[in-house]
Amino acid sequence: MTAAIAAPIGIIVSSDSHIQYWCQAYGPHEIAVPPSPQDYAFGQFVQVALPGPAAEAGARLIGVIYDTVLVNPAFGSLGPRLSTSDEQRAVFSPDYLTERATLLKILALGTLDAASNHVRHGVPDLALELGALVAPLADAEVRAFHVFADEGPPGGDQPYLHMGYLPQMISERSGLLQQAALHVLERLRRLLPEHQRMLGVVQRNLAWKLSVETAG
Amino acid sequence: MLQAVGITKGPGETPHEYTFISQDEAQILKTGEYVWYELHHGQNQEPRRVLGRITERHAVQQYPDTFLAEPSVPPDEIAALIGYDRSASDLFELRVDIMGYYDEQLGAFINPWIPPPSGRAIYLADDALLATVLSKRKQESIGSAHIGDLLTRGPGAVPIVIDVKELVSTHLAIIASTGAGKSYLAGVLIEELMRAYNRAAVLIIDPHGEYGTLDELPNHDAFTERAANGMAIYRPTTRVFKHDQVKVRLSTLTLADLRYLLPEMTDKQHHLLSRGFRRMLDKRKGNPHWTAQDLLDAIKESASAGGEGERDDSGTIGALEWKIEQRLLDNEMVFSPSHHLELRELCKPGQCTVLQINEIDERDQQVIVATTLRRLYNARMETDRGKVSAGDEKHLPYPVFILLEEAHHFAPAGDDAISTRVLKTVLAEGRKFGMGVGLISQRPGKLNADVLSQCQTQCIMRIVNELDQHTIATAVESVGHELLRNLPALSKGQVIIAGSAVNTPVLCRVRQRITRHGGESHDAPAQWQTYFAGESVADRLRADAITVRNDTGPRLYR
Ligand SMILES: Nc1ncnc2c1ncn2[C@@H]1O[C@H](COP(=O)(O)OP(=O)(O)OP(=O)(O)O)[C@@H](O)[C@H]1O
Ligand SMILES: [Mg+2]
Repeated sequence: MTAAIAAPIGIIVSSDSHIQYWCQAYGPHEIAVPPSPQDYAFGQFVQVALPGPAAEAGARLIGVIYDTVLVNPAFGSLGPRLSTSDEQRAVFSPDYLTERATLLKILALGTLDAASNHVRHGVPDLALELGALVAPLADAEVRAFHVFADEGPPGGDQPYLHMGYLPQMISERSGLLQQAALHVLERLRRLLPEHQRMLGVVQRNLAWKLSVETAG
Repeated sequence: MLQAVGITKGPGETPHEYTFISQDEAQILKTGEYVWYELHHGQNQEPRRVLGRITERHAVQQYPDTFLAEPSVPPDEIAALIGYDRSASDLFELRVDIMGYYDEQLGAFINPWIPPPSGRAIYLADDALLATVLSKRKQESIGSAHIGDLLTRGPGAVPIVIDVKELVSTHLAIIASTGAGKSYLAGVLIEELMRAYNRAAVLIIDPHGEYGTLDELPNHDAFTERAANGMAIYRPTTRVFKHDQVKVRLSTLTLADLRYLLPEMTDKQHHLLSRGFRRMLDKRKGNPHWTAQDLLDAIKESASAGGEGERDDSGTIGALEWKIEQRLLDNEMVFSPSHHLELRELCKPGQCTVLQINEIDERDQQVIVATTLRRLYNARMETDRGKVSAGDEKHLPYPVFILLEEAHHFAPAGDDAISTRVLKTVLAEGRKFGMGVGLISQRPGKLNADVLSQCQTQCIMRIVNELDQHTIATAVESVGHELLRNLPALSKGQVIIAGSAVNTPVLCRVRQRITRHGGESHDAPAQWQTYFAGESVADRLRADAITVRNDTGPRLYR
């Protein structure tokens, strides 16, 4: 794993498909500085190092958190342990705590090569590895992932705003993915005020589809 | 290297249509543009280029309305945002009317009767191909008339040259709203007819006196043909007859003409007139030139020779006499006992004759046209049948072309003008005797429908009135409806030419006149301005002052 990814929020534990992964967020005692719930909020961008030599070069998969599931093995089993407090449990039965988990669903949006500043939106070539570290994306990186120039003609060398993953996100059946798209748009509007108008058009368009047309 | 502009999609609604898909990045596939595909028939035969005309164009892929919501945000950028390459966003489906492949021997388009299969490459027809297949004649060849160039191409790229032979044998109609450029186009056509490669005998009936500027023809070098030593071999002449020179000799009037000329006749008067008229002709067998007085005398004689009942018709006879005096005797400007324009003066190869019949009463104009056409027609018929020989008044040994402005005056729809009948005969039979007519009208709806449908070449310019558009659509089968849809969109000087003088209907930009156009629209604001310009003000004040003095005596108002 590369050092470029700082303050991870969790690790990849499973996947549903080539682009949909499960990440388990670190619990309170698993690492020195556990992540705060803000770090894995709904619609948050995350990055995961890609496997193999690409990783050394700084290539990362960029994804977005679009669902959160809390896992509690004790749920439904009405055993005596329920009466003990968490503090007592931490002392007498430390293993038990780790069985409770926060699982995050992540959708792959594209790749970002930190070294060459090369960005690609869409389905990445490589899949992630189990155990790969998941870290949040800083504002500057979010910007770098969205505003860049196409390679050569016809796009020219002027950087412009890209959201090439949006159709994929919207067309997925999961209602949460579509909601996540709205969150992403909202977030980008705050982050990229110069693209406020254009994002507004797309956001209103999507909001209309999700609210008015769905209800109508 | 040929570059395809699109790929066929499949057949259209009729067997003579197909559709193709193109990105049309260069924006060249306009409606009315010509494209072709290759038809392979038979193994040993050269492939043919099947030409067609684009009749419809619509976008297959369009941005959703919501992309167009924010005027300051181009939809291309939104498409780019979500990862769609903006340069490839346009895709069009084009509908093509198949014209066929051009057969040089036949000089016509042959329809293949089968639309192209899906997946064929479509090419844009180049200028050189169009120049050879659209027009029946080569520019400046004998019998050609260069009217202008193809509208969808650059100026001068594809000349449109129509066939004068067809024009003279199967007639022409120029139809458009006022100000669309009919007279201008007619002027261009006349110029072509007077060029050395046509040397036509042309007669123009000019009710507005706007063709006088054609007297510039002889002085323009373009119309002169010179021998190697610079000597002029051919130079056209122009003769302009003003309204006071255009005379109808009474003896060319028929009984029907007379009836038409004399207003509001009772049955009795009709009867008296026809008896008198016949009596007069019988009496004057050897010398057909009669005067109005001869007619009056003959009517009186036949009345008194008539039976008892007619003796006391003095009132009726008096009224008839009065009408004849009014119409014929006192109207010497138009009717003359002895004079009219000789046919050979009127029509001669290499001569363009303009009859300016403005300032003449409308009924008289109709009679002038009727008698002139009838004389020409009879002369052509009798000369053609060998009934008359050189020296005879009716000897006219060459075809003539007659241009009739304001044709709806001379062949109105509905009521029966005296000229309508003659015109119908000429249109129907003129082809046998070499007599062609070009009709110009701004109101096709007011033009006699039979007359209009006899004109086999149509020049249709901008028409806004829907009724008139409808008339055109029904009267003119050769022009497809899709082409006629363009009528209101045409600008001044743009014309759809269809019919027998061209290989296929074409949209044409009329060329510049060589001579001046006589029917310029008045520039009213400019003329009002000059009214107040420097010198003319002083002149006018002086003139006004004089008027005032004349009116009121010695006092001078300023
Ligand atoms: N091809 C052309 N190029 C340049 N000017 C043109 C052309 N055609 C027409 N015009 C101009 O348009 C005006 C009207 O043309 P024209 O006199 O031919 O109209 P029209 O159709 O005969 O009208 P009307 O029905 O009133 O006789 C004229 O001033 C003429 O100079
Ligand atoms: Mg005119």
